[in-house]
Amino acid sequence: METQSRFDLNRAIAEWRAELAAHPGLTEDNLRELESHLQEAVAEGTKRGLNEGEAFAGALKQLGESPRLATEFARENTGLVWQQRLFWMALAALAMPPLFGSPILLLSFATRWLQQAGYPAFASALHDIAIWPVIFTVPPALALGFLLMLSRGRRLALRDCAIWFSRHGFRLIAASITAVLFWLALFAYTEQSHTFLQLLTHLALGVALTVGILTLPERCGATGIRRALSWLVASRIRLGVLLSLLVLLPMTMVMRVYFMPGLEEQTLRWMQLYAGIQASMVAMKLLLVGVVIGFQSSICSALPLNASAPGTSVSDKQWRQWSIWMCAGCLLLVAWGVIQTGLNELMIRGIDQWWARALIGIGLPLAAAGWVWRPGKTTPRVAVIRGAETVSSSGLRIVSVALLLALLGSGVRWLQLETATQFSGSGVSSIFDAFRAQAWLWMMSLIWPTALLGLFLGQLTRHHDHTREA
Amino acid sequence: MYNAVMVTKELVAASSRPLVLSILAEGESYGYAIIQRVRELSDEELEWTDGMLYPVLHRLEKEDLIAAEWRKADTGRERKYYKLTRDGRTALKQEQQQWINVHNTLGKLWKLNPASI
Repeated sequence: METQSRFDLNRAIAEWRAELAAHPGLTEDNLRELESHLQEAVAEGTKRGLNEGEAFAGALKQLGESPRLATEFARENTGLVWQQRLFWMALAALAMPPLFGSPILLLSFATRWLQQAGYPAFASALHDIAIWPVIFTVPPALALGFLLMLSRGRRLALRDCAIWFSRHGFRLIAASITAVLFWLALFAYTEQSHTFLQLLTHLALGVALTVGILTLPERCGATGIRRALSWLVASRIRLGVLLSLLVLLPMTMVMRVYFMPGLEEQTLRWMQLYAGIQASMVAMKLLLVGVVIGFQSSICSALPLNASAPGTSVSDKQWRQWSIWMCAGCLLLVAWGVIQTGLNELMIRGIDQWWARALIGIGLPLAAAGWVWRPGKTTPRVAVIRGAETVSSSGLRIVSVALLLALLGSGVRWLQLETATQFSGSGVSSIFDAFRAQAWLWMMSLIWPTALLGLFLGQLTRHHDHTREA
Repeated sequence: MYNAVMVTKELVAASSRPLVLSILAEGESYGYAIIQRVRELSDEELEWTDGMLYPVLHRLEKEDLIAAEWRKADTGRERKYYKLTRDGRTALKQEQQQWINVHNTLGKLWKLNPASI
């Protein structure tokens, strides 16, 4: 039978552990070892005649403050720290486009419904009136609303909601299937197809189902499936093959059209171009898949999957750090968009050889990834890491980078539009108008939400984890 | 400013490696016991924060100088035991030689008796 004070000690240790776990860079094994140490020290203290509270306080003091302790460990586990950050960046990069693209989708859904219902004039009027306000106001409004929720203490409700979903296999499975069905229905109805979204639904469904089934309670008879899935995700190679198949699946559709007989010369040329673009998209997605695989070993310990284990709830600090890296992920996505538009431009401007396209589409992203992630402490890798940490440590810097990217993006888009008008001989009347429209589009659709979020988080998080090496 | 007998932080950090290796050369041990041993040996003149020991242990483990294993102690508590590997013994010899070299160099100036293994 445990006494009341014994129970308190357990709770104090669990709270201390949760606080420590909020810092990046501590593995499950590290936490277990430190907890074991703390228990030894408390036992030693009580043996000397202290009560449990005093012994615990003394042991904590001797062990060192959590932030300092975490910094020491993070210095040892830089790889792990970055795996966790990249996971949140990848998650945001995958979630951002559908989140901020949804208002436009809903609008086209509504106009199409009106058209079919026999009100074409009303439909086109609605479209003309609403499209620009939707693009220009809804994403920033969404971002602002989110920020207000965060700042008014609703953050806790939001967090609890997320935890509630993630803590139970059934809820996660049901939510993911509903979300995916909703998206699929919406896209089927508006006759839009988007490889990125196809991939997203595949990935999201796969990951959510896996996590959901893994966390199903024993009594559901899901042990067999769970065992099979555990086997699948237990090895990086197996998980890698599975995710790569999911990513490459949409690619096969492109290839099928590409090899169809009887295509005109011009169509074939455009198909080749499209395949080149697809290749670079797939390369980026493979990088994201790589991030998920890299995170594989700590995926279960980092998410609050097991409600019964003490110390697995998400603290404010952890939540904040995840948000920061999600912001960074959005920025990365925007940066990638800019780079990719530039690459497409290069392709359109007459790089005809397939090997040149393959080089740009697959070789460049892979080379960049290899350069950054080359094992060992090479100068470029350290420089990239330092740069990322510097940018993410201040809200102002995130905003500046976002605006810079907006300018760069609109410049590249302007180039592309100019080419397009040359090709078609019609369309945009003034280059200045095109530039302005594109700039606004970039600012509003992705950059402002990111920048606002960054500004807020930068203010909120005065204390940023410093894990850079001295 | 500095206490006459207190060893500086830098020197504590530098000496942590040979110290841990030497303690483990006496036989396998776990984090808390290693710390206690350091305290006992140094008469509390080496100021160690307990938490600082673990990164040192993990670094040595990564270099394959020591090996770790989780085991249940008699008290029922789980402990991570560390022991010296063959590479660890070689590394300890080298460390010993280095520290003795430093000691002897300074000793010649301070007219101390030279040390040897």
